[in-house]
Amino acid sequence: MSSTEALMFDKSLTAGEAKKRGDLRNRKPYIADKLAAIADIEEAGEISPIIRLEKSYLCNFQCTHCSAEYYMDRDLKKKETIDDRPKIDMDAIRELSRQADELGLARFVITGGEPLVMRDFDEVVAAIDPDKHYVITDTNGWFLDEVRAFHLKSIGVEKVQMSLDSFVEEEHNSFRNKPGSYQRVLRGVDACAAAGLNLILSTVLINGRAKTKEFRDLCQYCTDRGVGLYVSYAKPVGSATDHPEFVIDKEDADILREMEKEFLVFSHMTPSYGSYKGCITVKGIITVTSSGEITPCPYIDMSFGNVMETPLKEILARGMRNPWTGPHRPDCLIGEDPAFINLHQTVTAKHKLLPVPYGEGFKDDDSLDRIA
Amino acid sequence: MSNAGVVFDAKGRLEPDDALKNPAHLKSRNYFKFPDLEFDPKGCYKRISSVFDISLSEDDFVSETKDILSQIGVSLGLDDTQKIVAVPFYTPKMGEGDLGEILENTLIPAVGKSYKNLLPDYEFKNEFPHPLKGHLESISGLGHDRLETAVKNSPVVGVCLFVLREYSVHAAREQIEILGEDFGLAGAIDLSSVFVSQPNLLFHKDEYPPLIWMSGCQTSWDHANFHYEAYGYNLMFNRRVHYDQVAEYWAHGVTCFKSI
Repeated sequence: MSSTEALMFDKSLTAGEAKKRGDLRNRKPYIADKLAAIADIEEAGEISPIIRLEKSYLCNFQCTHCSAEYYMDRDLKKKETIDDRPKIDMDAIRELSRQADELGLARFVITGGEPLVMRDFDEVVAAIDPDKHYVITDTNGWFLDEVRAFHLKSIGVEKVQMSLDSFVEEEHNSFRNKPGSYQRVLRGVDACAAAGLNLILSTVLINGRAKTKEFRDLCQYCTDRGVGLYVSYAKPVGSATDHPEFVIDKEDADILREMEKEFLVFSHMTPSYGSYKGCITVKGIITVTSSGEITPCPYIDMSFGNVMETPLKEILARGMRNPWTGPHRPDCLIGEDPAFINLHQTVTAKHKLLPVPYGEGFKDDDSLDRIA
Repeated sequence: MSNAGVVFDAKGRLEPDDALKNPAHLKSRNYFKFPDLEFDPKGCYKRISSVFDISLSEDDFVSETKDILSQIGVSLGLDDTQKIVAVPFYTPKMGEGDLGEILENTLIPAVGKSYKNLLPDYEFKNEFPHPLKGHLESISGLGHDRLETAVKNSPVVGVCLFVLREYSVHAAREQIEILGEDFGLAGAIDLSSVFVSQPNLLFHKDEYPPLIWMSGCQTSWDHANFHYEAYGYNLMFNRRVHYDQVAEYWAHGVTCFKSI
């Protein structure tokens, strides 16, 4: 039985998930086939990461934990630094899309910054090609009303990932430094449902939050609404660099793992429909920055190569050869491994422009006992 | 049994032989750790006997497994102060049959029962969604083949050591050949028996424990193998691609056994 056939009969899928996949197959069979083939790709020893595309870092928020803060113009201005590196344009995105398709990759996430403030958002979706790739957008929800949600669906966006950092309104607004943002998220939830956009809410898990009533209430809300809650571990990068107290410990991660049995909640470490990647660096996700650099995860500011100079296939191979990011591991490299966190902070602190180019951060002869 | 020349690091990891052609880490930072468990044949006997009809007395099980451990110590030049992770186990007579079927129908359910007995709040899950029949066989000459033959005719007692850490699957196979024929590379039968005996082998609240490959067996996929792995406080059996790489997360068992 091929994986495509297997998926059709896969009893492990929830009824809702099976319906979503059936709908996608009717509308976009090419993408459905690619998604269904991921299991075969992994079984053959190949990888199929999601591509996060950071074309622009423009954002209307200034969040306490923003991982992209050091890429933003406002931070470069503070550092009196000019980013004169070439930037990815629509041709570069089209070429990335072509190479990704050739490798069987099937999923793009448009992120930033805040994607919905990008003037060329629709053009980016078209350059990715929503008939060849499953397109997802991140958003803080501020501009996601019903009109915008229907528009996103009409241009080929399939899914929205919206941030909600506390189920307590004041806490979310405070963490996001944006009064009113909580209500905008709730409006966005309804807008996605009306427009038929798949939705997951994402939230940041800081140390101790897994044990709180607020977190449990949020899990319950998402489960009741049938909306998945994606939990991202807080990482000591970007504007959270000076908040080492945010970093979770194993107990937090294990409490979350137990809650997965009860609620519609998951992290990037969660087994998903037969796929068990653990830390998803390279194997499950890559980030393409506005300067074309490819990093192994949204929170690691060290590159494996520039897609405008090096074929995507070779960049992925570098990542898989690297002893930190290539092989499988069950914990979050940048969120839990103190040695790597230290290495990352030491290396990135020497650079005003991130990510750190290949050879200066990650390198060909990397080792696990390396000291920055 | 004599293996003069093998070297263990301070944490009880066997350092890879210079002659290995496949990847293994030369040194370990010991990031993934087994929980601190004593060699406890009495406790293991109690857990085994709640799952299998065990054909020898507690005293005999204790004495046989201590004897095997002692012989291993002499052979590998271990002194009493050297801390190694070692688990005594018992496998009942299995009779003839496909190894995948034996694993799926007998051994995996036994692991599940023992896990539930010891850790009733948590779960053991077989996450591999397909039948195992025809997907698994012992590799000739690496020891698990001898074990598979032995349990067709009689029960065995044995001890499994977790000294091969941070070796690729292929490097572990090379290393076991260097250790000699008294040692076998653990596979489906002995690893499952170990988890019946010591279901909390990977239950670690403070640190991440390693994944244990069934590297003494080969599967019907080139780059993948079966394994046991913790997921939080839970244990799972699954199959995973290993890319022919080494990872600091990976461990393999080394087994000595005796038919009874």
